[in-house]
Amino acid sequence: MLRKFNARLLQLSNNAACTQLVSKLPLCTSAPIEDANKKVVSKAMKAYLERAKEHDEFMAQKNLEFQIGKRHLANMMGENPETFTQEDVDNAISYLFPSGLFEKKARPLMKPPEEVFPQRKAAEFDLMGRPHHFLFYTGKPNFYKLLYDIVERVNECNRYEDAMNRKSIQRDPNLVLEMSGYQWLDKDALEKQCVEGINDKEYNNFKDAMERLTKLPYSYKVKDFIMEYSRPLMMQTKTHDVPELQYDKDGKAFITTYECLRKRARADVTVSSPGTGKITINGEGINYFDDIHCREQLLFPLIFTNLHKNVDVVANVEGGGPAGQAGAIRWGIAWSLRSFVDQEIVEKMRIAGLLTRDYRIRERKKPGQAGARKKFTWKKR
Amino acid sequence: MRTFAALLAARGARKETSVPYQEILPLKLKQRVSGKGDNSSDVCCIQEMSLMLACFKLNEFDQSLCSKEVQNFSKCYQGHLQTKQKQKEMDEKGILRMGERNLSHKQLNKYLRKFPNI
Amino acid sequence: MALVKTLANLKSVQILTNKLAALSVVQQNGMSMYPPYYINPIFKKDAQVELFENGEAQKLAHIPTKAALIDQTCSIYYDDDIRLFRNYIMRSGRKSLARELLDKAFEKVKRSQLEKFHKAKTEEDKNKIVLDPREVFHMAVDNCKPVLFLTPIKRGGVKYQVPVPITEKKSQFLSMKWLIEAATDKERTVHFPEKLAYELIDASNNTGRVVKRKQDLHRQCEANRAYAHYRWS
Repeated sequence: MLRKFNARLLQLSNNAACTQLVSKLPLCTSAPIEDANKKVVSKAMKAYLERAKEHDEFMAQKNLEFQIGKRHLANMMGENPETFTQEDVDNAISYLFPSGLFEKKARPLMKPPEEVFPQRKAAEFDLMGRPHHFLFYTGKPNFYKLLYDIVERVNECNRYEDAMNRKSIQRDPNLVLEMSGYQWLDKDALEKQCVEGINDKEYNNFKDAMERLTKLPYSYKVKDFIMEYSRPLMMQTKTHDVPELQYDKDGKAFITTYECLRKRARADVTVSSPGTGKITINGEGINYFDDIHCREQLLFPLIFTNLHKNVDVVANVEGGGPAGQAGAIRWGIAWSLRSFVDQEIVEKMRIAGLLTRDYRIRERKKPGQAGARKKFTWKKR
Repeated sequence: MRTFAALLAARGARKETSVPYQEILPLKLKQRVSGKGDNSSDVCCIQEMSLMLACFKLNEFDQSLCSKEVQNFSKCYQGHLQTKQKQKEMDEKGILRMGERNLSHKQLNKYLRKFPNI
Repeated sequence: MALVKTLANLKSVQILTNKLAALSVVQQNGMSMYPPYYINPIFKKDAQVELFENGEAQKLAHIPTKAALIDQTCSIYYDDDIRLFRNYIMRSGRKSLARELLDKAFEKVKRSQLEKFHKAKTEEDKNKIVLDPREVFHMAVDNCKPVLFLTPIKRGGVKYQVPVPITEKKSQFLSMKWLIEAATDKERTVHFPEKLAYELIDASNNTGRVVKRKQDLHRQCEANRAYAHYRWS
């Protein structure tokens, strides 16, 4: 009882006025005060320490299990357990437990426990239970601190603009922050960075705030900050490598593209150069197609790159109807022509929609309906 | 029977003052407006239209003789569509601007949140 | 004290994705096979030149494009309006038939215009005759475009036909639809391309049934102009 009382007094003793009170009290001896001095820990901190200990033990246990499992796996695969890397583990797992599940997350995996179990925040308050962070009571201090930082940067830019206006200095129009090749950090990454759960609305707030910041005329001043929360996007032309040209025994350059698909059609297309613009489809000429629009489609990539007189095309096509076959060959020609033209024209072809595989296929008929979308005539009875 | 009940009720009719006043809901307006009656009138370019129709009637509906009126009319309509589009975009964002007259419900709600009525 | 454990080396190059759109229940682009951030292809050469000149192409470098459709090419014979018109002619997906009919009609236009050209005596008359069937087509569509149309609006239990201004797209659609309707409505001995050719030539000269239909609509609008202010959204 006395101890409890003393402990409470000590909590009050932060105030200078109270310290005198303590010393004046006749009941208090010096020994218990010192004792309490060590042990005063807030309930929150106590609970946190307990949880942290539990977590650490759990993680140590899991880590041990992982190490043992890894050694077992290495032995199973007949390799040296000391040099068995994570990549080897992944390969072994996909070899031992082949899975046809579509969702990659649902497939069996073996990863170090730090990756599998979510990260946790360290203590956000001191022993007395007083939070370190000024936004602790928002519940999401790191996220709101980020928004706070963005506003600080906005103000900074505005102040700079005002100063420039006062000095009547014009902004250099070349110094513009170009963000077209960048994408904001996605929600999962931001959640990981903040170690906090963020909902869609909050994520949108983050994006809006960042967009507002980048739109400011002097936003290039805070480029580092903006870049920290954006990721460069891959150039679309670089998503697929352009193959090297091959040469036959006559020294003619050629490229063969296998598996050109469109609708139900499948084609193998060989483009060779130098040529005279001869097109061979299944042993026939361009007359293989009766319809003019199919022939037009074949010529589209050739005309687009101005190579219609310089290359020969040989295509083998099967399955599907004329439109599908023409589409398949068109894609095959365009895909092969990338090796014959420079990077700029490849980009142009991409913008023209020649390098995109057309995945659209016939939609199936549904039971209880006349067609894919069409319904039967409605009758009351 | 019914008349009897009515008579009883009349005898026992209470005075207005004896009914104690209760404030069930707070006696003030809400801090927001609903966006229900927000659709504005779409009438536009009436003047231009009537001018054009008059010209049509005069020229036996030969459009080539009224090209000026037709042009005026279509220009007016294009302008109307553009301003409407812009207004819609602005309304969706709910951005507040100084000195604006016709406020959308989103803008009004923003104002009410900033300056609530007592 | 360490407050936050952040994951290092998060920075990496990524491909454009739209995670939020994928998460939302209602897809914005209907049943399209392409994700919503795909843009339409710009396949015409002059449009591309313009794109590269004004620097817009730089911005598109990271955005994937949809595949060009099977009736789109960069050839000089390609025309957007004619493609549209052909698709309006098409019934139950027979695109090659529609193309055949339209090509025949254009041939007919060319022949009859040439005939007129050779019959014309003076140089002045010859110059007036448009020989290019595509030009004839464009003139015909332009001449048949209405500037107003009637929409039924209910006021006090009575339906009024109210004249309303028309958008460019809709007026073009009506014009093309009327041309096709006029060509479909014919005697048994006349074929569709023939009739369509006559209608096109007539309309390009600002005469014929379709132009009359447009004028009738305008006449009706004029009669109902008193109701013009009845319109609301």
